[in-house]
Amino acid sequence: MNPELLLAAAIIAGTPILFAALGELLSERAGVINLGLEGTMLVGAVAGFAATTQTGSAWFGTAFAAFAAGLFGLLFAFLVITLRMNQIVTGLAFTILGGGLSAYLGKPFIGKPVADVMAKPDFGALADLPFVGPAFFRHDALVYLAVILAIAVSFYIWRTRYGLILRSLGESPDVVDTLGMNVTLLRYVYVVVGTAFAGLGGAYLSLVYTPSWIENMTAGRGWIALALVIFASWRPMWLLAGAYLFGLVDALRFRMQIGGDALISPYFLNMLPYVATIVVLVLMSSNRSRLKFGAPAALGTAYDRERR
Amino acid sequence: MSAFKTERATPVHPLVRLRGVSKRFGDVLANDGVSFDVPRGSVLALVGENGAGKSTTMNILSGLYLPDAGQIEVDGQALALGSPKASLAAGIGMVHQQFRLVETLTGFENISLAIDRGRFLQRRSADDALRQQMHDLGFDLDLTVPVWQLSLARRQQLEILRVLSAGARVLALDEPTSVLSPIETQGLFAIIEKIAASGRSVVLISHKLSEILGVARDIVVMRGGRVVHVGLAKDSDPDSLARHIVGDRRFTTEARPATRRGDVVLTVDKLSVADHRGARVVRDVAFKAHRGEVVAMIGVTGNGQTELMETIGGLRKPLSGRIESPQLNGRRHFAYIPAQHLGTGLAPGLTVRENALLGRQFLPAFGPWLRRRAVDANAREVIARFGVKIADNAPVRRLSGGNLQRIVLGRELQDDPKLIIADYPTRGLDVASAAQIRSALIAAAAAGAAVLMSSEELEESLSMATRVLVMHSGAIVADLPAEEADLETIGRLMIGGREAA
Repeated sequence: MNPELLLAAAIIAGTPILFAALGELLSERAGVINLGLEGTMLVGAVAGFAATTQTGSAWFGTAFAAFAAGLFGLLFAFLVITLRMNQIVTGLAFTILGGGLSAYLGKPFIGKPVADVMAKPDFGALADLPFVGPAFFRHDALVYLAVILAIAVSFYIWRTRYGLILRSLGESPDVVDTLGMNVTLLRYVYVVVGTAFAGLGGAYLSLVYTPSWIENMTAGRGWIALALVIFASWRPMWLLAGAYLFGLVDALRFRMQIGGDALISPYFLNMLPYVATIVVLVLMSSNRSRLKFGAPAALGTAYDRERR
Repeated sequence: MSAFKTERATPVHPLVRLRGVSKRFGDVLANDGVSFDVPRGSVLALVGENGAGKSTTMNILSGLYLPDAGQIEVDGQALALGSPKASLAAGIGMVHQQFRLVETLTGFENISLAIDRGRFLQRRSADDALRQQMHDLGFDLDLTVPVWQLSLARRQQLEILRVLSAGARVLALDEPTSVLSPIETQGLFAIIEKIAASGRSVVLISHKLSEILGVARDIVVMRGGRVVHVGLAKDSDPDSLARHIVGDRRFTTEARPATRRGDVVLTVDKLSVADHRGARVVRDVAFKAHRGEVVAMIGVTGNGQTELMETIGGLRKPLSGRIESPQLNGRRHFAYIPAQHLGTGLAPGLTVRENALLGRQFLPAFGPWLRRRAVDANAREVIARFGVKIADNAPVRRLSGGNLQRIVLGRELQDDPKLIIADYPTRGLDVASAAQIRSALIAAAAAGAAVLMSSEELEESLSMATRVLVMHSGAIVADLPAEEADLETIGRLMIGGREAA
């Protein structure tokens, strides 16, 4: 196949992972690990599809997906921040909860076409350039939104005062507290915004990528995103590159399944999300590997000011 | 209020005034009606044993804890309590014992965290105001390196700089000298005097009397959550203050045992150890310990002492080298007192009775199903060693640090060990408990054990040890008989200086 089309396919397949990983990055930088990413994406996917069907507007559906996933994240935040429940266990529970909830809510939408298609941005002459045009300038709006978000998050983290506070929040929440800032409130904000990002990833799947509602349609992309955050060392621009790399693998898998002449058996590529799951759990539960990958020091621990 | 007016020497009203501040943690009344004034432009020392309530008071002042009762006035204005933001705005700056710095960020970023200078971060490493402030205080800090690369003394300077540049009028320092070498301590006191001379107030929390009398003007003594004495440093002497601090309890410290070296119990040769990050923290260490000796391992905290102790104790695998203790018959004649009594020395959720049994549970005396009577008797024996009353059926986590260490020691000394490894045995303990622990170790050495202990207090080490090992960045830089060691030489060696300057 053409290299420019393969590149385009990689960008498309990487976009939902990028949305989810960016959201997880915000949450983890704030010190909260949300393993419920997979479930959150599914909630976003079904909410986006349902809202688009009801209103006939894909843009409204996308916004609603972010809102619904944010609500789902608010419940998670309440459990792990306010009630200080174990983040790993709660996150796993939310993966299962999100899967079940979306399957239940999505029953009426199975097999239906999407009610509205988002208009693609028109880049004029750029889109007609050889190679560059089909590779980069003929995508859906959400693809560009993901790139813009990645750049914005990167700028926010490294160049703004609030970004500095965010970096400290996951390292040493006690410092942030001592300096008179509200650790609980800030963590709530980042968990909810983070899950809203994951919701956008879900909406992209059900409204643009597939486009239809299929049960469990994320197929492990949430777990891939989680692993990606670790391998990108919690840096947004590395995430951007990593997401497209995973997108490339995904695109190749698709070609191989229909092409028949496979370099690696597609079954191995299908196993990737599950390998990613195990990798995430192993890396995050050993102190040594957390240090090595530069995980935020307070990741996964509830903050309690008067603990003595 | 009029009652206090007559007591004040100066006509200006105090910068900070605490009235009737109380705070309860569960069953413990950590602060019980605490009232005192912090005058302007001078240094006030808040002294007392661990658990006397000093840190609680300062945490209330800095807004971290919400008191159950009481008022605080800053410059005549009532302070909104329980809000770190309000305390900072009122000009109260606190340097905690555990530094509140983000280690992965640079010094400049840590300062930027505290000071709001617009939404976007400045790229410059230090602006003029900051540079001026560093110049005034005599700091020589590189603000562009991450904090984890700085020495503890430098980190402390960074904290002070941050607090002052955030506009603090009252600087509270919680046990600031605990991480410093003697020379660094002198440097800190010079800084404190400069700050006080600039019209700001300094509150110094400490339990080291000798240091405080030199630098403070006012002294407030706390005991059991109450203020028990308020006075001027020039009218105080260490003995009378010590009486205020410990109350009417009696305690004595025994002299060091007579130097009568017995057989070698422990041989350490060319030992190197890595810490949990894989960095070599003990380098080619070699020494011997004999029966009847108290060997004190002296050094600034974090120079490899704990890792060395843990390796000898078998908790850590060495990278290379040899540890031999031919006279020991397994665990039976070996006692290990870890630096962390709760967690490593004792299981927090188990009772005193159960903790006293740990390590001995397979002895035939307890029978196959743990005979209750034998277990009780064992606990009574452990507790009785120090003549204190401790309920033996409560979880040990409710006990004070002193009683925790008594139980660890009581258990470990039960079988007359031949080798005792004690890692910071008196750290964080109150005066009376520390004295008892010291006596017990000296008595064990006199009875024929080799004692190897680490300590961060020079006076303590020199008063009880027969031999002194000085550690600096993982190596033993001096091995001297205690009689030949003097404070100044050791102080210099601890921070990496040469033996004779």
